[in-house]
Amino acid sequence: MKKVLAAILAIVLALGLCGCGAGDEVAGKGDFLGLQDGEEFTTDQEVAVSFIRPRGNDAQEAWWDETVAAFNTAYAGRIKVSSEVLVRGDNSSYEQQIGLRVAEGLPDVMYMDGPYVSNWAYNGMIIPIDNYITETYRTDFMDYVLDQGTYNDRLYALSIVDSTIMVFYRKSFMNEFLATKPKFADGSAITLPTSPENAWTFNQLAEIATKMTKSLAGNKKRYGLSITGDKTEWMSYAFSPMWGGNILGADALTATGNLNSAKGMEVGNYLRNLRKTNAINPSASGTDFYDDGVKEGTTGSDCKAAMYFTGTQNITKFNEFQNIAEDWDATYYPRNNDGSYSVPCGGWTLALSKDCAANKRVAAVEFIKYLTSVSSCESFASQTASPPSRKSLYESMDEYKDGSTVQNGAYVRIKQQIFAAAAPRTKTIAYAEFSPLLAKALNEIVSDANPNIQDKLNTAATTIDNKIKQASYK
Amino acid sequence: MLERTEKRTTARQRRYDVTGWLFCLPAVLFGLVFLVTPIVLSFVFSFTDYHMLRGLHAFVGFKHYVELLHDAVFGKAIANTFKFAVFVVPLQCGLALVLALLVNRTAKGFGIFKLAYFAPVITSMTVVALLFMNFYDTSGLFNLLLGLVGIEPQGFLHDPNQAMYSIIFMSVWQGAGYQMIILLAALQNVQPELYEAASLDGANGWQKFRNVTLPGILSVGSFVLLITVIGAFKLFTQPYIMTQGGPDNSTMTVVLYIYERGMTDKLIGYGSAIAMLFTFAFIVASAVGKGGGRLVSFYRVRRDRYIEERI
Repeated sequence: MKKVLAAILAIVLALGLCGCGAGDEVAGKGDFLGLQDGEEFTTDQEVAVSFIRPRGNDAQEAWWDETVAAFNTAYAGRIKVSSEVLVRGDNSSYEQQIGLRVAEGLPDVMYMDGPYVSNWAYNGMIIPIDNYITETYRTDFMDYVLDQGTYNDRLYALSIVDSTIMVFYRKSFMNEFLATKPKFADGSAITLPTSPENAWTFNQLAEIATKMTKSLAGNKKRYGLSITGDKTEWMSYAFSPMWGGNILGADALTATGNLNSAKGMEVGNYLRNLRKTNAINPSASGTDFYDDGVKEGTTGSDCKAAMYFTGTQNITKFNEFQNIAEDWDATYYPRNNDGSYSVPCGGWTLALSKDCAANKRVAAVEFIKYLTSVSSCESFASQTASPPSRKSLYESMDEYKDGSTVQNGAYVRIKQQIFAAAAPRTKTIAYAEFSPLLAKALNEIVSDANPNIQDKLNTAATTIDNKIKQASYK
Repeated sequence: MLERTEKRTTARQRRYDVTGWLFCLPAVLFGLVFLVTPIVLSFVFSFTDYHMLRGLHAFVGFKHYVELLHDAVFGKAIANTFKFAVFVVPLQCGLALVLALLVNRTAKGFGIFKLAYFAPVITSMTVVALLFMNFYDTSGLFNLLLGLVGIEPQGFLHDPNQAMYSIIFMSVWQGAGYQMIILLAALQNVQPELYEAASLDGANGWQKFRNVTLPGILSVGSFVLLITVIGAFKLFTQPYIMTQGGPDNSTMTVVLYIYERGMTDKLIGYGSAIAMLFTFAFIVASAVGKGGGRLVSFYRVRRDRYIEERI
């Protein structure tokens, strides 16, 4: 029996260790192995590149199909990309599915959520791409996009488009309360910010949302604001800037004393008050802002939220409805109550996996460069209404040009806030441990009728620290 | 001649043996691949630092088991799992028995009740969980009904003191139909003559139930109890969908915790250690249950013998 057990242990350990050392060598920083800008990719034999991505919305899917097909045509006989599409779902299921494939081997190119770059790089799942991409090629990308894709001073990922959070609102409801129109019961009125410098503070947003909450016929309510998003990390994405950049301490690995600090209590109380003052619906479904949307052959019910604190990725959703496409507008992400300003950004990005063989890397990066080229970024940004990752496109795309009247100038405001204060979401190698637990704590503060805010933050901080310790992050 | 017959028999016997093994092979292979291998691997992984993303680098001995002793969430998960089982097992089995007794009639129209009680069972737990999330919502059906009698809206799934009970209530409602069908089959196997005899002896309804019905369905009842206990300890889907173990880990269960540490946190080694402890606890509980069963049988035989002697 002992012999059998020893044999099993030996086999498992051998298999495990074999699996760990399967990848090819990674070139050091500064070693350039790629093609110069404008240099043509040549090969004697067609290179097969595998690519994995999550399923997107209809607009994104159409773009991916067209673009990958166009790449394969343009590189016929040289590079052939085969795509695999996974359903993302909720609860980080895409990341879990990728995680499960680490042992069997990852596809060459992976489309991944930007905040996970540090985590995946730390765990050796992705390799740097700066050995294959020239400095000149990088200069057009937004600084925060490069920052998000950088870990340990090496560039690991490049994005096609990005996302940011805005306060979206329905013009038809907002107009009722603008300074030039009839005012609230107390005689006050809403003044819309004209630049990121005078963006509403979080407190002002709460005050306005409370006043905009309105009772409707049949014991129904249209709340001033909806803050609902996916349960895994939305709340972390949306509210972590309120900690003023110190949510995990200087080492980005310590939650206790930071997440549950006085600042944390301020955030918790803020969210609690949103519920107490009826500014938000604690059981909002996420569609409250466009529940009255009318599509071909369908009729909507009642709009349940006049404003929606959400990401730019939802713009395509608003545009699907005949009565909302022209009615939505957006104002800037709120400033912190102390006046400081940091706008959370971070979207999906392209990276090279550890299992991409050394002799395929130039071809794989050629695919990444094709997807992040000016024309690809422009078409993706245009079709999915997402802010592009390249600076030059904010000057060339009509909707982002200064003075643009597209959607009442909403896209210009997106540009303004990104250029004013964009920052990647909390950068930490422990993002997978930190983000869901913070989101869970914040969600519970909103949904629980009588939460002990300090307890919830303390529990979240302790659990995050324990998980970081157990996962041996250093 | 005799020697040849023996040889032929042996050859035939061998063929039978091979055929038998071939019939068994799919089940054996299935069991080996999907049952034995995962258990063995899980056992081995529980002594390693296996991380889903980083792979396996070293054996860490009993480190994970020692860590589990100090893991407060694990302790809470065990307590929650027991709490769920303690409430669900008697409630679900009791309700199932009551429903089975109610529908155990041949009168016209009773079939519709069987269907109604069984319908939640054939509905996916995911669908039921989503449905009840709506019912339990602050502005959902249950709070609407409470509002009609002047009771403040309750945070059924958001209040740490209520969340587990809300899941228990839903689980009892969803699962009782299954046990009801099994108990109903057992009830219909009780011989009518026994009831007639009891009536002739002047037994009332309760006495018939206690002395005829219950002994008649005892063995099936133990089976129902066993599968309900096993199902209760495996609780996963409901908290995974409805609460993700919250609020404040008040609905965290052992199986959900295995998933969270192994899959979400990617700590395969640690998750395996929890799974192993859980399996070990189950084996011990089964052994105790089996021992208890044998004890009951032993005393039943003695009791029967004693009655026979008296008669």
